[in-house]
Parts: sequence; structure tokens; C-alpha cells
Amino acid sequence: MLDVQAVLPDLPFLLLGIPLTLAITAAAFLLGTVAALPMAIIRIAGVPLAAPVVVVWIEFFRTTPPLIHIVWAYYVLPVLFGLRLSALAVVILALAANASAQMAEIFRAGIQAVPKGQREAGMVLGLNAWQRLFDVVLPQAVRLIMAPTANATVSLLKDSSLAALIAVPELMNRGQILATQNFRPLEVLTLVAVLYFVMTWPLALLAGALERRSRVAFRGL
Amino acid sequence: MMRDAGQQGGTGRRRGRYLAASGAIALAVTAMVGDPGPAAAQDSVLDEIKDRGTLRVAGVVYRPLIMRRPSGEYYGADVEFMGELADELGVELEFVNAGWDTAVAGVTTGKWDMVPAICVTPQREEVVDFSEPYMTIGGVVTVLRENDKINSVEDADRPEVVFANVAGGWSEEIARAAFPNASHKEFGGATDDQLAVEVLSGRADAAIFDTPVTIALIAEKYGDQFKFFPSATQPLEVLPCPVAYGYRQGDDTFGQALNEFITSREASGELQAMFQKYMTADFIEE
Amino acid sequence: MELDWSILREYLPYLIAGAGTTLAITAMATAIAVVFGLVLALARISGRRLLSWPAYAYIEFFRTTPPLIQIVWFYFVVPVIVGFELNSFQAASLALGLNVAAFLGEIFRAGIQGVDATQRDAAQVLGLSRVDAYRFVILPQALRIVLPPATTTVMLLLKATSLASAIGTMELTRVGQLISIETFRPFEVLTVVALIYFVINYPIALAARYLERRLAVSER
Repeated sequence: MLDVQAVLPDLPFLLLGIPLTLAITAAAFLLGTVAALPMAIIRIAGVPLAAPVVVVWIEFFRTTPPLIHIVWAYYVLPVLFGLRLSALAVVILALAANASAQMAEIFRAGIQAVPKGQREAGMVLGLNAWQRLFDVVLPQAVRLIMAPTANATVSLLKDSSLAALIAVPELMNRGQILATQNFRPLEVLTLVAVLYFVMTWPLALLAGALERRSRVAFRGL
Repeated sequence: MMRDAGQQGGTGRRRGRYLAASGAIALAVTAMVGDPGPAAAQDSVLDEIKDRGTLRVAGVVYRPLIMRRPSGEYYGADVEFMGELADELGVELEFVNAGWDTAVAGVTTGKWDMVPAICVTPQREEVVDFSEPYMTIGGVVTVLRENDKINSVEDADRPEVVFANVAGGWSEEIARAAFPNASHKEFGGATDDQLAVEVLSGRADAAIFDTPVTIALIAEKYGDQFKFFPSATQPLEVLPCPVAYGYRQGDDTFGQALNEFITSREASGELQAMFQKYMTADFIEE
Repeated sequence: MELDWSILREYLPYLIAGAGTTLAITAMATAIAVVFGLVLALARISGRRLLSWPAYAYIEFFRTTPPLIQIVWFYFVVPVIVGFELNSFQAASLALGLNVAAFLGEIFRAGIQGVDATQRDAAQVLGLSRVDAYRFVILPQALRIVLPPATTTVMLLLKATSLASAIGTMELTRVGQLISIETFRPFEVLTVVALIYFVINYPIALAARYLERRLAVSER
């Protein structure tokens, strides 16, 4: 039925895709997270004009599939904005936009979970809003966001496989190429699945450890 | 009182985790490294088809032989042709969702009885058997008109030239065979229109489409923006694609039945008439 | 490249049909995931290694591999293993259902464990059997904790149904692809497809937000 041994010799070809997979994940995560914090703050603070825009952005990217984001960005951006980006750049930007929405929600939930008493104590101590945010609330929020963030990263790593649809030669794409050359799509796919497992499992373990440490039944995500 | 697994001692739990994980991997590996499967069944799939009452066919999309409407309905020259085959066998015709990347694998795993509209290539012949070809399709290299890199067929066979291909598709095989020195981008699950946009946006220099149907469609949608090699109506000579039905290797009974059907329809001229009907560009009014 | 939005009027019915299939897969998979997720959660907290370790292995496997691969596997390999045929809809629903079950399993577990221990003690003092304790005391309270993240998970599930297009299921993404092939207008089609996803998924997002506010659990 399944003869994985037959495809094992081609493993190196698949492995060559891993650096790209990791690079896409890392870049999208960094970009998304950097964008997410300001967005979360804007949303919580209810900044006029900016907050509704942020809300629409977040809700749009949270409710629509990343597959559509990637394909849309790939075919539409050149037409709409004259932006001729490489496939790799498009994937990173699309996934970063997606990640920014997820992370913004994680940050928001984390910040709002910090007991109100903390903010009030800060006011009593005479701290201004920025000081309250960065010196009192955020440090405590960090504890709450670490586990969901690790989970979001795992999600991102799996979503990087969508880059195959626009011919970025990362792991999944290489799997597709290999499968059409040796006519063993299922064996190749199994091997690819194992490789994804190997990449994401350490992250999943980390997420589990962080979840136990935070010790708060984290609602909202 | 229930004891939470989460309240066990730290080391015990960690050991538990590692054991569970290695167990999972061991299970996966065992499932994978099974035997290559039982020897091919001696009885023909033809009997299965008759018992079942349906002929299961891979629902791949290949203009103009087999196409699919957004409603899900299949139509095309081969759809009609296979309808007649099913009638002759006394069964219903059933299309099973398929893509080109798994079309061949589906035959070997028995997901469907045969793959229609598939090009005969030496590579594929190692895994499946083919009926007599019932038509030949040609590929045409499609390039953006302003693109100076390519002004003849030979120009395309250079590393600076980037081809856009659908992974596992017929055009990919032709592209790689005819232009081994060029660079090839593989799209998983892409469609012809996406390849066209790829060339249009300049992200790829060339793509291969079949003539006359897809070429006609492209000309209609994009007008003069493309140029074709050797020409819009003349396909490449390299690897002309004999189109046939692919079926399980070794199943000679079924192969014979297919060949008889094809030959009889060829002789009566019906085959010719049917494909003529679909091969003209006017047919595609959408 | 000029845009032509008029074609969409002609194809809108198909897109809506596709959206219907998307929702059907989501509903089917959610049902499977809830039932199986509960089983997994109970297995995990049962304290019996025979139950909790396989559950753990299952959860880790389904959470770490791309759902796309799981879907293709269920379409091609599982029928060979179990001996009966699965069509695209069934394979996608099953694969996504079992996938999401892994996530819900963890959410349910956290929910059950999040119920104050004193509740369990009180149930025992009242003489309730373990089953009754769960049914009348623990699970209803766990529900409050579980609903917001579970609703978000359903949102993720709906998005994941777009992967079913890979095995030809006629859900929204696949229908969009077919329209794209016929019209050679990926721009317009993709934009409308994205908007439709937003329209059908946003109510779920709103529900999640509403539940989050209404069921705010005070921290201990």
C-alpha cells in the first residue's frame, strides 16, 4: 500500500526546503508581531479614526483564509498598486498581515486580562498612561500571552506550506514537485508531514510548558 | 476523587511526554514502512465496474476534453466519449474529484478506474498502462509580446528563461522535456488562468498552453498581449502528447475493452466528429 | 488590465452554493470535533496512562502537521485502510473534524480543570456520583470557560475548509477557482471570494466576542 522506503533517498531534496519554511515563518512572525502591538493599543485606547481601521483590519484577516490572502496578494498587488514583488515577499507579507491580526487579539486579551486594580494603583502612584502601560500592564500581560503566542507560531509554520501554491520552493512545494516526479504522492506527503512534525513539535512542547506556567485559565483565545 | 494527570510529579510527566511522542512516531513509521502492498489483483477492474454499476473516472480538468463548470458539472469531448463507453459497458459514468498531481496515484490505489485525457509519457508508463491514444494535443510556448528574451522556440531553452508550470500537469512535462536548460517554477494546484497572469505580470517569461482551445481563450481575453511559438496554431514538435486513458498496470482485460471501444469509434468516424465539435474556438463562448 | 465586475452577477449563485458547502463542512466537522474533543479531554485528565498517553499522542500529531496533508490523506489513504470509499466532502469533514478535535480537546481540558476544585468537593459532599458530578456541576461551569476559545476555533475551522479545494470539494475556494478558469479573471473572483468568507465568518467572530464579554470568568 504505502512504500515509504522508496522515497527516502529523495529526503535531501525535501530537506532543502526547510530553511525557506523557517525563514517565511520567522519573517512573518516578526513583522506581524511588531505591527500587532501598536494595533492592540490603538484598539484598546479607542483612538478615533485609527481604531475602526484597526478593527476592520483585524476582523478581516481573522475571518478569511490565509490561502485566499496569499493568492489574492500575489495576483492583485501588481495590478492594484503596481507592486511587482517576488513570490517569497508576497507570502511573507500576506502571512505577516494574518499574523498581525492574530497577535493583536492575543495582545489585547492579555492586556485586558491584567486586573484593573493594577492600572488604578499606577494612577495612584502618579504614573502617566505610557508609564502605566509599559511599566505596569505589559510586563504582567507578557506572562499571559506567551502560550497563545507559541501556538500562533505553530499555526504560522503550518500556514507557510501555502507558499507552495505560488511556487515558492519551500518544503510543501518540494513535496509536490517530488510527488509528480516519482508518482508517489502519498508516501512523499507522509514524509513531508513527519518533517513538519519535527519542526513544530518543539514549539508545541514550549507552548505546553508556558501554558502550565501561566497557571491562569486563559479565556478569550 | 479523580487524580489529574496534570498533578503528577514533574519528571514522571516529562518522561510520559517523551514516551507518548516516540510512541506516536514509532506508530507513524510502522504504518509507513509497511510492505509495498499485495500483488496486483488477478481479476480485471472491468468485473468490479460491472458489479458496481458505475465507471469511476478521475475528474481532472483538461481543456477541451474534460472541463468543469462552477456548478460542478463536467462537460467536454471526452465526457461525451466516456458517456458512450459507459453505455456500452452498461454502467453509469461517475466522476471522482481529482487533481493532476494525484491522478496517477489514484489509479494504483483504486480510487478510480481510469484517468482520461492523460498524456502518454515514459515516466508514467512505469506506473500505469495506457490505452491506444485517441488524439494528440500540442503545446505552444506563450510569451509576453514585449518580452525580448524569447523570439523563437530555441530562445526559450536558456537558464535566464523562467517557465511557469502546473506541478504534475502535461504542460510541465512538455516544458521540462523541450526546454531542459530553462528555469521552471512549479505551482501546486494552479490553473491555466493563473499561469497566464504569471506571464502577463512578468513574473515568468513563458508558459505552455494547448492549442487551439486554451490559446484561443487567451487570445480572446488578453488580445494582442501575447506572442506564441512556433505559432498560435502550430504546436511544438517535441513531445507531442498522445492522449489516452490510463488504467491499472497489468489489467489487460480492461485495456482490451478500452481499445476495442476506441478503434470502433475511430472507424465509424464518430471520434473525429466529436472532437471536431469541441476543438473549434467558437465553442468556447464563456 | 481593466476589471469586469459584471461577470460576478452571472456566477454569484455558484459562489453562494460553494459558501453553503463551506458551512456544511464546518458544521459536520464541528459536530465530530466536539464529541471527539470531549472524549480526548476526559481521557487526558483521567489520570490513567493507558488513556491519557494515546490521547496526548493524537493531539500532538494533529496539531503539528499541516491540515492540508491530513485532508489529502483522508481522501486517498483512509479508504484503502477502512475498506470503504470516502468522497471529497466526507474526507474533508472527517479530516478537519479530527484535526479540530485535537484543539478542542485541549480547550475542554483547560476548561474542566479550570473549574474551581471546591466545586468538585462540594459535589462529592452532596453524594453525587462521578458521572452526575460532571453532568450537573462541573461541565456546565466548564462550558463558561470553554465557549469563547471554542468559538474562535470554529472560526479557524471555517477558514481551514478552503483547503478542501485541494481534493476537489466544491466549497467556496474551489468554485472560485473554476470560475477563474472560465473567465480568466482571478482578480475579481478572488476579491469576491474573500468578501464572502468575511461575511459568513464574521457572525461567528461577533459571537465569540459577545461570549467572551458575557462569560468573563473572574481570576482566582
